[in-house]
Amino acid sequence: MLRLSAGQRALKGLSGTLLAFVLLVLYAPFAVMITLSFQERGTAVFPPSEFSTISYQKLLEPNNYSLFTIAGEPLTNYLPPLRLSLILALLTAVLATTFALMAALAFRRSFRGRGPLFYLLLLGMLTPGVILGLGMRLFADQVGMEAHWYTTGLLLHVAWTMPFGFIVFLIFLNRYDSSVEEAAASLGASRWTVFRTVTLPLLMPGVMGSLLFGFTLSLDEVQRSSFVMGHDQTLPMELLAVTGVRITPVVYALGSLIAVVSFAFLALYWLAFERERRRTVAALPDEDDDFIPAPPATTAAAA
Amino acid sequence: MSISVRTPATPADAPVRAGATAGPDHAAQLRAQARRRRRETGLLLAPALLWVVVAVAIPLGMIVWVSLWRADGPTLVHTVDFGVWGDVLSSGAFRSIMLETLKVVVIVLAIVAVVGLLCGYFLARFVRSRRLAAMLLMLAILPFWTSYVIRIITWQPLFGNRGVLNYVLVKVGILSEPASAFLYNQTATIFTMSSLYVVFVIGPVFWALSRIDEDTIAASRSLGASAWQTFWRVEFPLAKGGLVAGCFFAAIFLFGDYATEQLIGGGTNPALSGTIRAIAGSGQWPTAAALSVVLFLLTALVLGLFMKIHDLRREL
Repeated sequence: MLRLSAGQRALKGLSGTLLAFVLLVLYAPFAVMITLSFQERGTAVFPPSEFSTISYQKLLEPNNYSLFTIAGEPLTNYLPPLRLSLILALLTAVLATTFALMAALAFRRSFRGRGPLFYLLLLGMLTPGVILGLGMRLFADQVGMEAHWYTTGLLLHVAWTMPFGFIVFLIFLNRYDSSVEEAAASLGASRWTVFRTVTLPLLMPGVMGSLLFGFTLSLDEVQRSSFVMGHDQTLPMELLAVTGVRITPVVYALGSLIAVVSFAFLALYWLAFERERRRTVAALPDEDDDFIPAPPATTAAAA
Repeated sequence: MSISVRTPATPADAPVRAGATAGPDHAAQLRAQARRRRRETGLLLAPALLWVVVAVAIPLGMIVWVSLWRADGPTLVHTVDFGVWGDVLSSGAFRSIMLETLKVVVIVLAIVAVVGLLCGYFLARFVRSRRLAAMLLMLAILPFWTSYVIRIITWQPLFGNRGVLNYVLVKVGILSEPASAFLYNQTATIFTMSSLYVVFVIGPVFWALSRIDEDTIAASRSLGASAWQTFWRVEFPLAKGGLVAGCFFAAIFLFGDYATEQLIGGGTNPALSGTIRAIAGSGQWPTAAALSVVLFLLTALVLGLFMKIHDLRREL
């Protein structure tokens, strides 16, 4: 390790402080939101004057109107939009991941039009969301398709998230040694068996990454959704609509719950992902001793 | 007098067995294999391509077509008419919205590039323990996976009239009374956007820099390069891919983000995306479509510029 020069020490101090500031900026809002979710009334007043869990009660009992005592408080039941968002996100994640994986497998080979097709497949990610939402709505009107979450909504959510999965799979496939597949094939495995028992298990971390992108990006999608959901409201759309009018502590309670649940989910997902990655890395032959035949002594000892 | 490449097999020919390496048969086998592979490639690509065509390409085509329609009172005439385009391009209001959009995007990109580069550099170079660096990076990335709308609205109680910032500043005595200058303006929008998208740069820069060998740095230093020269000549070129990738993705999100401006900027200074949404919401589809084409071209221009600086396909 080199000794740091004065300039480097200054850089270290500066960049370290900046990182600390960034982390503060990233997490302070969550802390404030959780604090404010425990107040009874008022909006965005700090510090909260009283402690109350009534906002959480309102979330759980949206039909118990005696709880809603603040004048002009939106009587929103967040449970149906939440359910819709979860279903849509799951469906989106599965479809996007399946199609992305298939397309990425095709991209391992060369074929005519590969270059333009690459950009075409990414177009749903590169186009600003509001354009796609508007275009989809115009298209649907033109052909007489009704806007619902399961028609135009699903079309757009998959189109938006699939490119992320596609990129994830390309990254994994490009760093992956296809000789294991050839080995399996040369030992007589059919192409489908090779895919099922060799390719797919090795790509499991990619599948998990793609599913996570599909699920989370769909779960808080608003840019593309505004014109294509018809009467169906997803949770983020409902939140955006409500907060445009008035933010009450109920919104903070909902936000706090979403934050806590996502952090817990992500922590578990991360652990599972790491385990999966370690497993696949262990399954691959070590690069260093690829061409070194095992010394006879060890072979004998093993036998 | 034709030279037949493929002669039909007659019973007199040698019996054809699988794996036989007789010339013409082998060629036929190879051709069949190539055909099968082509069919397989096609089948693998079909669902994704079909989906993209229906959900992306056709809607984009619709946008272009509708921008050529004409609004005749409340009814839309499906013609090819450049009237709307004339209005959009000659309107000073729309022009200033385009410039504002570009301004905000460029400022936020500059902020996230500098902040992200420095943070990524710190994690990769100054944090000795790789574990700690990975954990800090995780900590920075985590909020991105939570709700975007929630992350935006949490800035209201921080910046608001009776929010945390005012509370602290008044308590400390910097302000004598709460200021309303922190929320509902462009500065607040830019700050919030930077906080939302800086992580796109931190991650890729960190990964790019951690691929650099310690020995490469040491070699550069031992050959007499100063720390500064090492940074510019060795580390920065290697970090560039990550930096460009981060800005590329930040730009994708930035051009479409209207919620931040609406909730934190107060809706007073809408960007193109917010304007398109509002205009389309009021039913003026041809105008909204024309503005969408402009936004699309603007986005393509900026993303293309990033690809020019560094071809991101190399990072795949």
